[in-house]
Amino acid sequence: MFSDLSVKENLVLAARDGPLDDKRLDWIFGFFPALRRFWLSRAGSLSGGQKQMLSIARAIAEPRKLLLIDEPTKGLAPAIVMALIECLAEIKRGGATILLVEQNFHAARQLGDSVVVMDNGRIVHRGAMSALAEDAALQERLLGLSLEAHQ
Amino acid sequence: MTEFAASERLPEPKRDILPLLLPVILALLVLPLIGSTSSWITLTVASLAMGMMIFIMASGLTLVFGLMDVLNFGHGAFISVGAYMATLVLLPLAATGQADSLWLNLAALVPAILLAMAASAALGLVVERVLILPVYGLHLKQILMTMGGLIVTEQALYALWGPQIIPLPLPTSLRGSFIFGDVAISKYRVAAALLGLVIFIAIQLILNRTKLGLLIRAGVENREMVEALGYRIRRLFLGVFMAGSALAGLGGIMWALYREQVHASMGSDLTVLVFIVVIIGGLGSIGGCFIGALLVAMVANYGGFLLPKLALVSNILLMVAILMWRPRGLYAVTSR
Repeated sequence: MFSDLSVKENLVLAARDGPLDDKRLDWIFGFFPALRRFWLSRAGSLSGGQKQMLSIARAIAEPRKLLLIDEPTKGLAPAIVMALIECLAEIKRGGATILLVEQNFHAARQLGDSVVVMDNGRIVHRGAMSALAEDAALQERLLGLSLEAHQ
Repeated sequence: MTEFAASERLPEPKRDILPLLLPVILALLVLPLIGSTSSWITLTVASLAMGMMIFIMASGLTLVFGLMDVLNFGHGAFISVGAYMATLVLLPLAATGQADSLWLNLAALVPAILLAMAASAALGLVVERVLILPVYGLHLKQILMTMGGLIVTEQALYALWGPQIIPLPLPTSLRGSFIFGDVAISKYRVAAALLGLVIFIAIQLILNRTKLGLLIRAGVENREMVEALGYRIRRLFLGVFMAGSALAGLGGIMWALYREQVHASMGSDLTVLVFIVVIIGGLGSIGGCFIGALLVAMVANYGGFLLPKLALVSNILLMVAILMWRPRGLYAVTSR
């Protein structure tokens, strides 16, 4: 994110293939209304969560076939996390592939088809997300937390 | 694209206007010291004209610094080449240039300016590809390569045109002065100041109103992130480098007409001044460069009038004072 540029300018730059599409912008604002409110403000003066929203909005400013996302829920309020999950789920439904690195299992399990769990740089589990989501004991062993604790 | 008239604004950082006021404060402070209002007006207009010419020469250099962190000590070569190219048009068309008609004068001047800018831009292309491309990220080598380029260019100009100073008379329309009571203001200085102002406004409009300008501003802030977004910043840099070289060429012809002479070392003589302006303004800042150029010109003109013995070191003293106040220049754009 470019701190000296406005929210608008950051998104204009993110639209690599042409001008920003108004419909897509409205769709993004549906998930992150703060970006519409602070459209002309400097990105550097946004709060941490709003900056995170802007970073995600930049990634989805144009349709993509593949999205690499590293801990998108970090620093976001729970309500915004829900909006973000909804947004990424819609992108996924549109046919895009998402490679998501996420510590928040609650968020990851709503989006993932496949899951890879890493511990200290090594893969310790690989399989279907649905299998991991249904197996509380496996979750506790791999993630060290019960599902209740996550929720 | 969608505009949101009802959008809220977060509290913006306080606008830093102190550097903007510096030239005004300086001009008002020296007024009682100079004593005569007419001399003060003459010196102020001379400062504005000189400042605008230095700004035109320095603006490209500051963007190159800010955008790619390249130390180009050969920027003066574009100034000299621009001035020499102008002689190729203005000397053969001397009769047109000295005719008593504004349009005939422009018929000589405009092609000279275009040739100067085109030749400097072409030289900029060669310098970037041949001298700078192999040494990206290597400051010491950049200094050696570009300094070497400046020396080679200067010697090539000596070889082609000879060591003598070439007189370059002003076109008739730009000669003389506007007289207001007991104040005489040189027409050429007014024209130079106006042209500089037009170029400053044009650069600001490009930087703030176009996607190209947006990319340049973003590149100055964080060029790796611009590359990560999929933009070819090297190509952007080449464009900025060539545009900066063309502006230096324009500055060269303006300076040559101001002095009414051309010589091969004029570029290297002006390099120090241009660097002082870029450093005072803050690397990568066009606004800072503009104010820095004005301050340098004012100190040179007022200082030359009030304290002639200090004239040689006045710009260095100004730079030291500004850097003691703001170590990263008047407007720090990059973290470098």
